[in-house]
Amino acid sequence: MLSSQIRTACLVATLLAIGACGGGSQSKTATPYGSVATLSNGAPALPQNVISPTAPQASRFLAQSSFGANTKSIDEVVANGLISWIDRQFLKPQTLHRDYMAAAKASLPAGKVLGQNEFFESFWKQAATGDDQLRQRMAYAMSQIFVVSMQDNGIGENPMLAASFYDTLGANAFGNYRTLLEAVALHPAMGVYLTSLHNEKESGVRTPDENFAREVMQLMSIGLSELNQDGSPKIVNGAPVETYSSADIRGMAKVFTGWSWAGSDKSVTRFYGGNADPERESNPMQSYPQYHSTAEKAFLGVVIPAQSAPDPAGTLKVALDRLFNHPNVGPFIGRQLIQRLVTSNPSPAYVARVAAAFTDNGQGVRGDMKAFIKAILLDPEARSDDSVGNVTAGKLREPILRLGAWLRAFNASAPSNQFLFRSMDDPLYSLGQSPMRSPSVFNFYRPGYVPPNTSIADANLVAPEMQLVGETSIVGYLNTIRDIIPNGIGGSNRDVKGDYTNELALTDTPEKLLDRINLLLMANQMSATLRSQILAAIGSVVIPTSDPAAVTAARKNRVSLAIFLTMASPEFLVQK
Amino acid sequence: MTTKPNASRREFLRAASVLSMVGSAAAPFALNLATIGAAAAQTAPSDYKAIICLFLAGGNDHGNTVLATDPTSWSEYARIRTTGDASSIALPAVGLPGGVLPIVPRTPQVGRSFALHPSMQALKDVFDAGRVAVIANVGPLIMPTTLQEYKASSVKLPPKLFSHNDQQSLWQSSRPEGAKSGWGGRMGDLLVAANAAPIFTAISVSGNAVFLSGQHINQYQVSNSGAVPIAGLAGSLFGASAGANPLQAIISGDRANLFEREHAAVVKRSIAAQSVLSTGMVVAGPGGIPNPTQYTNPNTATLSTNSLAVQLQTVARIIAGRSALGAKRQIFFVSIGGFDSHDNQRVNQADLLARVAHAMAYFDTTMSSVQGADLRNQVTLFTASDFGRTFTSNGDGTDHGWGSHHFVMGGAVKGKDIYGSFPVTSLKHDHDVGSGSLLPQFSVDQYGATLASWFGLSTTQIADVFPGISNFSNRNLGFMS
Repeated sequence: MLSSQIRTACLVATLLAIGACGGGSQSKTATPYGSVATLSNGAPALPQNVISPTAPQASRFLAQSSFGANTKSIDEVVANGLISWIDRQFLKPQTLHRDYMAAAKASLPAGKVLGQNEFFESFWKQAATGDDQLRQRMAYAMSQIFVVSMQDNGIGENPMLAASFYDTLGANAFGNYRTLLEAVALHPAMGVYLTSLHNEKESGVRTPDENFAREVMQLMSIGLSELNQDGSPKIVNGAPVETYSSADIRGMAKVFTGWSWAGSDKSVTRFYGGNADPERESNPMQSYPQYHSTAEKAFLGVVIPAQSAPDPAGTLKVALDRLFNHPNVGPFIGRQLIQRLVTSNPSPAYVARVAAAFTDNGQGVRGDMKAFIKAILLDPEARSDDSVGNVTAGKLREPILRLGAWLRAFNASAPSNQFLFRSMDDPLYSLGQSPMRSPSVFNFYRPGYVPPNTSIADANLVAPEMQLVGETSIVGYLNTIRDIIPNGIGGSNRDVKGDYTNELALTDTPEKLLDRINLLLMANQMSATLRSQILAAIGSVVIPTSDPAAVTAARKNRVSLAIFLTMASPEFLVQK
Repeated sequence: MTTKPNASRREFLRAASVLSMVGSAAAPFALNLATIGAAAAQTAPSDYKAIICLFLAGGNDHGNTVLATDPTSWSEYARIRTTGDASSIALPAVGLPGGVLPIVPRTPQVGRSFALHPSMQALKDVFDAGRVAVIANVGPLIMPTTLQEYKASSVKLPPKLFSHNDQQSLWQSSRPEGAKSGWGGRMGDLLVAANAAPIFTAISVSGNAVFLSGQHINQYQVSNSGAVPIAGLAGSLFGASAGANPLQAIISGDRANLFEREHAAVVKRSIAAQSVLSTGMVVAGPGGIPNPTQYTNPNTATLSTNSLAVQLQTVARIIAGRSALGAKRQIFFVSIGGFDSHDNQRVNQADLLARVAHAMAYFDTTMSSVQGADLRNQVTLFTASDFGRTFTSNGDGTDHGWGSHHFVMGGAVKGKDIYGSFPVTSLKHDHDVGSGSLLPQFSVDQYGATLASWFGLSTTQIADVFPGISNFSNRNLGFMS
């Protein structure tokens, strides 16, 4: 099918979808985010750039919905429109990291065990080249809410757990939040990381481990304070209302007793980690009823009566249903996903629209991740071109996404096909961030982080990713990309290199070269000042007329200058 | 108000005095005068002093760090913490192999005797030498609080108790997550005039810590590698000559977008500080600050590098460069993580406390001769942590608590002592808020105010740094001379 035919078909489908959503006449309404069309029922209409985006609009969308734009993905989005692109992404099959790990393990020399590097290889290979970009970006965003980290020895020394957990996030990215929550709660990686694995019922002086019970509420579902649907805290008698008490934690802790490694039996040995099943890193934890608390469990207004026979699965269902149906989940998780994908400071109305999609996907279903994602990415506040110029707009790109943008824009490839990435933890000599290596369950940065003593703080805004920015890490980033852009990354052989064929062909016309880089990396948002600064630098590199080696070197220098100065600029670093 | 991070010293002084007037606008006029007068008196202390916050991230189990060992206490300890699990967390008694290490504080507590975790021999030696004090049961409080008041919620309580991120923030700043300044940074605000280069007033060797952010000054983050320059900043860049190289203008130029502006501000600070620090900071190793020895992992008896000691070496290298950096008052932040011992506590905490003890003892020794100068009387280190933990055990670990015991170290510390009444070793006592988690007897404000007083802050300034101190009549816990 020709792209024009695809486009026509999708336009029709989109228009029908609008009709199904209530239709009616549209009118323009001024909002803080620019002029937004609304339907007669008051709901915001889909902006034109959702239906037929320009290339820069597509590039901007892809910075939010993938590991970065490239020529191919921009063409796809322009041809299909955003909705069709998202729908097609929902159907893309998942590539499993644990399969890569298993294959790597099979080819290891005798006596060698899998390391974290194999996970980094798989992660970056998929980020750079995977066709299911939306799933990958979602999985990455979710890995910062449902955190498991290889900095913990229990995960770091068994990286198959990290790979399988990351797969589980990806597998549930387009499903239902309730299913996701259960998959997370029963994943052995979470069991190891937050110590719910082989957690025993109370006995004598022993009390159940409260770790997962607390964090699943604080970080993965409802948060600490009762929220309005727009994400603002409910205020009663001048103070926020806490969602749970210590007594709720103790009640919830009993729920997560009696779960441990999966396997062919429920022996005591297996409960404590012996007799390891070969698939235990990937299979959900199984229940061991003899270790499950039978006492009454009271939490969040729910009481599970004392059980005559232990019923771990029944208990779990009541607890997860209670969390799932808590009105906080939509605004609490929704706001964080908006922050991960689109902007650090969404308006209350934006959060409320996203929360509403969580509450009901339009067909009476709560927790539909597809509706959630569409609400986040297609919202007028995410799409309006007017919001780009707002001084409070955007979010700082974190190091992993900066690198992803480069890998994608320049179609980076690895001759080994292994993408030999390694830890990038060091903030001074590397990027200060490696996937699945958060310092703690509180992620690399907090959604409520306020950089002290800044105009951001004065404006009562947050800037989560700024938590990673310091006098040391800015040096690490600049020095690292200055090296990577011309030389590549990945082990001493620089396994992963950018393909600059298209850029080198434009080096005689610096304006066109920079146009291309501006579109790929910055969605054409480069200011006139930055543009003239970079063009002057490029122009100062003279391309000689003879000596082919010198000509090649000069062309490469022009490309490196254009990319490096773009990626060094605050304008690139803030995704808008 | 917005602060230009690279403001000159003169601008800064002017702004600081404006700020102190604004900050106490609600106070009586006489108090304003006192504030200004005190600030003026502070402008040029002749001596050098430094405070170091050592943060034990994750919430250290105080119950196995400082222990009561008298027979009554010990039998309750053993009863409550021995669960019959293979990895039960109860430590062996004094005198047994791997047993807890007895300490004898100068001030007896009737009927009680005490010990430190078996991994902390190196710290016990400094305690015995009189340069370490234990502050018992300290934690965030809004006002003095009894158990009855806690249960009835009849007094204001700290928000978001038992939550890691919020209690870390409360310890450092008196506010939960999202706080805009910490008490280290606020002390820096008032003392920065003593320093030729404001940027080297509040320095973190361990990433971003709200503790060091002032209402006015910014924290400066340094790594163990010191100040590494941005490559290609001066000179040619990818064939563009120095004159045509726009890198510095691009990365640090003024921007309208707030995120871009603040990123550029950090870049600007980094560039400015790097050139000064690269010459001012003393080298690591021979001729400079001695490298720390390796520490012994108590579980495996193997030797390895103690990264916490290396952080403190970096602190020492900056302290050693105090004259070149023009610094008279400095506040530092170092940290070590992994204390959230829900699981496998016996092994994990033994290793972590061994590192803490080794690093602190190394720092004590290092400060005894900094390029020949004994700075121990001028440098004080204190520990902080998210919270203490439950006294009950979940079999192989403990859960989130509140009050905890902490260490203060330095020549000016009235050491070899335990400050405050050591809590009853049991459950359901008058400071047990549940599962043996401690209701603090001292607030972090009281703990910090005592250090601030030693650091040279006036009573009025202390009230500015710790707004909550007004709720406490005892504003000096007496552990500093």
